[in-house]
Amino acid sequence: MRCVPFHYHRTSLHRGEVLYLRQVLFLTYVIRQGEEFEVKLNPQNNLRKLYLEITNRCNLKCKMCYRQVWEQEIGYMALDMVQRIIDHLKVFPKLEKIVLGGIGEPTYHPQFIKIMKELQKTGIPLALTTNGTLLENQLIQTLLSANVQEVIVSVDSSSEADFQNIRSTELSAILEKQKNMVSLKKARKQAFPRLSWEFVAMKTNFRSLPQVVRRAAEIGVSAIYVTHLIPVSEENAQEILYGDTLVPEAEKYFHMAYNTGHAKGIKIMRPQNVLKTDRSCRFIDNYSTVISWDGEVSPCYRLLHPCQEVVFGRKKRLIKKSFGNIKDMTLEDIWQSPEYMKFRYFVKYNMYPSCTDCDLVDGCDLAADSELDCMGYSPACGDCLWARGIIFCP
Amino acid sequence: MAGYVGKILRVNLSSGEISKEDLDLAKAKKFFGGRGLAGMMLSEEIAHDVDPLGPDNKIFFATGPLTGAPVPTGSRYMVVTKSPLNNTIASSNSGGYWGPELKFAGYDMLVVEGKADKPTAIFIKDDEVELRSAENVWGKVTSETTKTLLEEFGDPKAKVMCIGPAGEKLSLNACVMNDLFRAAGRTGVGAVMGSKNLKAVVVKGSSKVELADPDKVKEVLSNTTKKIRENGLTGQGLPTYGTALLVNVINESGVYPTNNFQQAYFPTAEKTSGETLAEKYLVKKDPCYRCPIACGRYCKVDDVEGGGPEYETIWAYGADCGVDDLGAIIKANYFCNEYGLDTIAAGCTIAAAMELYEKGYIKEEELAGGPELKFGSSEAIQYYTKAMGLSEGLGAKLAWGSYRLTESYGVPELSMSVKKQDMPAYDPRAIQGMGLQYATANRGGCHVRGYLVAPEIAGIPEKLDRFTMEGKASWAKLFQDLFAAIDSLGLCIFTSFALGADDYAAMFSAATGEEITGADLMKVGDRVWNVEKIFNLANGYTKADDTLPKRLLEEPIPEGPSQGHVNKLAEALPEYYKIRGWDEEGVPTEEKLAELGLAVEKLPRFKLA
Repeated sequence: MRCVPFHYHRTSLHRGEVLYLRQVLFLTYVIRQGEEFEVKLNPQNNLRKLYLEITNRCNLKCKMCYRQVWEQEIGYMALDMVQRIIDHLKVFPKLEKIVLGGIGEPTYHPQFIKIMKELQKTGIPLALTTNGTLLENQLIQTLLSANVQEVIVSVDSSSEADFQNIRSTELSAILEKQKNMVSLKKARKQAFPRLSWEFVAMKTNFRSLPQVVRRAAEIGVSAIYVTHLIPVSEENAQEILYGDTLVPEAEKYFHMAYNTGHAKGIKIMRPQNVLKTDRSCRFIDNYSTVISWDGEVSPCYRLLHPCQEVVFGRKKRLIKKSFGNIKDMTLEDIWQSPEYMKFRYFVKYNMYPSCTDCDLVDGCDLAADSELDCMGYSPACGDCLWARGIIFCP
Repeated sequence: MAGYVGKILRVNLSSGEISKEDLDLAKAKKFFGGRGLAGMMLSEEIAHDVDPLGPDNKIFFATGPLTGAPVPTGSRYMVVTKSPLNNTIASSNSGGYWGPELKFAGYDMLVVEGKADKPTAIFIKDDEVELRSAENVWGKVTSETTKTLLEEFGDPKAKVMCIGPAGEKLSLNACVMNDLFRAAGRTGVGAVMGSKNLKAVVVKGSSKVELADPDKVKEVLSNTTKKIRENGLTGQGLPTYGTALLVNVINESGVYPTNNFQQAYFPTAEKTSGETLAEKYLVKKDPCYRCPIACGRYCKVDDVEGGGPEYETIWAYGADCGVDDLGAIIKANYFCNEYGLDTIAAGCTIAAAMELYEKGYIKEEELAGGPELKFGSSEAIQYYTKAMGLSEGLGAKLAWGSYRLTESYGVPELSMSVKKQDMPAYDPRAIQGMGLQYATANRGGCHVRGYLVAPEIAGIPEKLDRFTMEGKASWAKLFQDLFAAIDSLGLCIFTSFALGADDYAAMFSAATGEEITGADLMKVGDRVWNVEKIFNLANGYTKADDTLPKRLLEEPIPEGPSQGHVNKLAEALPEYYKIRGWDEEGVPTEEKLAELGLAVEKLPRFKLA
């Protein structure tokens, strides 16, 4: 630790020294709350789940994607960074899963196969979220050889035309590739990876959900994650089905789909359809973290990139939140940093305001972006629809 | 340095010199910042008798320690200078996003001195400060100026503060605009910028306000936001209807000045109410930086849309001009934003002109082809606002403000102003304390120097009898000192509906690390008030100026719920001076100055009691 002479003039301090001072002076492992309470943080390496965004590039242009509205540098995670992360993970004994995902298509990374092989060596169970367009034989064999437990493919319609409209690619082609994966898996007498689907429910596609479940059964899908849409533009804000109530017709189709799921033995994860008092952040509750392609460590997908969302018709600027970069610090230091720990504490115990149903939300300037909320917490989670269970990421 | 940034940016437009100096932290804490600190510095730095529109006047753009900090409404900054309208200490407050941005760029305040030889803009990008020619935007309205300068600056997220054509033409009704629709409205501060050939200041910063105790700030923010949300005005009335919610409230109390204060009840006020505004014209709310209340409106009528109108504007162009056409008022407000006019002064000047016209002082030929200046004319309010903004035709005279206008016809008593500044939308004949406050406010007739409407009408924090002066002297002092402190901290006075001195003290303490109590905070307010008072005394103001227009002292309200009342200023003024620790002439005593720690400050010379 560097000793900082206290006669140093503020303006002459280096950034590192300022950060150090700030840490020592302010960001201790104690949270003072009011007159009566003081919470002592107990840092430990209890990370359970890592979301790894090896790239934020994608070969598709899906209409609901954050990528439609962001102004973010795009790129691929370098192999040495993957290696560095793998090294950093060694100190986390409770790590249960690495999900390759993020706001990009992992299989689009030119060195995807190599990365899978490196990750395989860790012995940590893996999962892959993908658009399924690049599931070719060699790639499938890699997945089958690696410790991949689940492959989650986005399938939002059973109709070729609708799917094309949403994801700008052919449904039949990605279904063929999945069938091939399932048969190769059977040939190797493997139970894993399980094949799952993710369905983003919108006004234009909800009627196809029961049929999607049937198609899923034909192909050998084990689970379908149904999530609502978090619109990123005012245009697709018209597509949402949730609100004070679920669009009545959607309710009917949802139930048909769920019942079909029971009959076909497909687990269907259902989203919340209305705003409820209950809040829980699956990222925080599951002791998860997200690392973006450029090494930034973020608490969740929502705050992974600077972006925009439209919450109940209200535009909100999302400000990227990073608690540190793998290039500068170890994941352990970042995970145990007072700032990140305090953030997890406040979110886990729901000590943040609820913007979505606040009387003042249509004007409040604090709700215009995710920097700060009216209780002083930063980043602001009061508008998060993931915590409400309306939006769900596997 | 927490709360404060610790730097002052000083630009001399005559020499082109740009310098950065350290903030005197001890002095800053003594006066908080913003209105207080800049007022003290102005008093020290300029000769009291400088020509307000000459190069020796200085103009301060000052944030407070809580501007840009994570506390509710930390959006405010003050424009402090010697007023060309009335030679008082001008300090005009504005919200929006410009003030916080100046702080994020690394400066507590910007001081502009001298006079540029050609139209100039100041571009500030953190450490980089540049003087640029503004000839391309000279003569341009606010929206065009803002758009052009943002393009030149090259960052759409930068914030623009500027003057419109009114400021360039040195109109005494000219304001300083920022973020398109926000105004440091009163006291003619726009003309001071114009006199310096300073068209605009564009700023973009990249740092945050450092906090002494972030956990404590969280707690304070949480507590104060809760109070703001739970309060009927800040949590419901203002968010839903904006300040215009007052139209019906004040009119129903019979204290809604109508036709240049000739009446105090406007029968068709409902047509211009906040409720009507919300129903017919409101597009969205338009908040300031980090404000949960969002009283700001954004309205559209025909092909005109933009920020506002506020209550005072609706009144000045509405009831005060006898107009109940809300669409026309929104348009007049739009022209004020574009030309850079203070909506209160502009509307009141037109109201005074209407009375002058109806009484035969302004002759038809003087209208230069413009519409008749009749009370109730929605055409006139729009036409003469534009004429005033451009100083064209009769507009050149209107640009002087109501006092000089009426004086030029030999009837200054028709100007409903105090110290040449037009009074806003509350008839003090039946809100007695408000009359005392108007008469004693340091920058002239003003509602944001002390809002006694809160206790006298709305019962906040306690309901007072509005028809009597009893006890009002101490209430006036209390409100004036509290608002001086809030202005100096960089917060919005609307928070005071929900918060008290202790809340503000807690915010200041948590942000700066300097522990103070509510009583300490009130003392800072008192100190600021006295510095301003002394500035005015040095400029020749006397007890005789602490008064109201004759109409309000002598002519009873003719009809409506408050019929029959006049303001009883004389009953309360001596008591007010006494409570302030001043002598019978309204001059601070030596003891008072010593008590406030002002004896050691370099104040302008004035005749001490």
